Amino acid sequence: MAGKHTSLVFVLRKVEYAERDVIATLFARDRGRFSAIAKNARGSKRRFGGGIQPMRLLRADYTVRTNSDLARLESIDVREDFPGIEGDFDKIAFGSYATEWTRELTVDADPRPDLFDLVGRFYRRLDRADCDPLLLEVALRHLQLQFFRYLGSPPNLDECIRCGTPTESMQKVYALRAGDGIICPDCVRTGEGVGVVFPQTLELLRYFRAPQGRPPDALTNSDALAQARRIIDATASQFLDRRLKSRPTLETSLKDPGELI
Amino acid sequence: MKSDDPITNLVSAFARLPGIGERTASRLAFYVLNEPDSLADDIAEALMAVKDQVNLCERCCNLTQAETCSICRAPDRDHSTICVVANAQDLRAIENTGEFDGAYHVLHGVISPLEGVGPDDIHMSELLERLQSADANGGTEVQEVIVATSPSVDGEATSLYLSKAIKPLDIRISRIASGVPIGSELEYTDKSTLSRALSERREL
Ligand SMILES: [Zn+2]
Ligand SMILES: [Zn+2]
Repeated sequence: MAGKHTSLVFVLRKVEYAERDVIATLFARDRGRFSAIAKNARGSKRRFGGGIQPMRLLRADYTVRTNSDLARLESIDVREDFPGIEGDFDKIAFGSYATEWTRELTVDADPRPDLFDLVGRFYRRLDRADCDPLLLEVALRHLQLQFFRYLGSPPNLDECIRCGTPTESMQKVYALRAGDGIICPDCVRTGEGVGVVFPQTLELLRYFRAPQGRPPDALTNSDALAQARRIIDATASQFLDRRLKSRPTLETSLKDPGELI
Repeated sequence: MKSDDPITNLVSAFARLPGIGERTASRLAFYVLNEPDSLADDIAEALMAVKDQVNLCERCCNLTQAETCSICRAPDRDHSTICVVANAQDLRAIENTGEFDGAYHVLHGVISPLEGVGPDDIHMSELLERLQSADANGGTEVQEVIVATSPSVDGEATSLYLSKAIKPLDIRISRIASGVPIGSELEYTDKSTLSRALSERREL
């Protein structure tokens, strides 16, 4: 679809190019992920004065060219900014991780308004949240679990993924180290990598899935928190083939970073 | 990868420079080839000299030919005020305004969580050392830090990190005013906007 377009976008990455240009990876509500070059972006206040910056809802005017994968960004207009994020180092750390996460878990030219709105809600939530690393983490884990759901492979937290036994009726709950979800003692196969899941971990993961009401006490249980993080990481490893670059900064902002994989 | 063909090697060497694509690189290579030898000699000499003779000021990390740069050595400047910039181009832009008579610290980058650039990847520890001990700042105790990073997410992250690190010390910290448009870069900001941003800096 060559020609001029206007979309709501988030900037997922920006790389300086040549003397004054910028190449941005954008996530458009109606177009999905794509790359665009902004000519003279580093000098022009008129067209890009609002800034090609991540963690802002922007309206972008751009031209798609028939002979190139790279669209041409004509101008940008800030529709919504999140000063609460930009004013706090930990929020920037969480927001950056979520932004890189989005970049890695989306694909070019696949419109995903559901994911786009999810990311927008995450930024808004982060913007308004108290600067408490645990509350910021709830927002991030919720985003991650929702991403899994929208991408069609959420970890099953309610029943054994092999026999369907509900978790409530299990004496002991196991999780596969490779992700996927929960299995019951009867379904554990010899030699397969599993770990016992604490009941608090399940409670915490369910809260991350639908964070309504008062956070459970499990949120302050560092073992349960560490285990919940590992289960989310294991699920994420199905989608990610590398460690995210923003991860070291995120770890400095997490409460009890512990031993993360 | 090195090939046996010197022209190919020159083209790929030029293409490694920022802002130079394959086509420009080959145009430059053939230009050098067709000009008298003196051009190639001059370029080669200047390139070697810049790497041999220019290093980082041991105090502020500015580029210098001596151990400490001319700004750090200047007796008439206020060495108790440090303006923190991302790179030497930004230092030059601020110097050009003629509005600032303190000292600098050049980070050679900014903290960028999204790109995996943390405080240890830039010259942040040298700055913190200067703030903690007068010895590391040529004998003058630091009273004020002005953070002059670009008003971008990374510029903010750098400034927020710094203000957190400085908190326990008795040092005033301010951020240049955002007369500098959001998302723009210091290096490309005009003189008057930049001097206004400096004089209207806000305390952090
Ligand atoms: Zn089972
Ligand atoms: Zn110096």
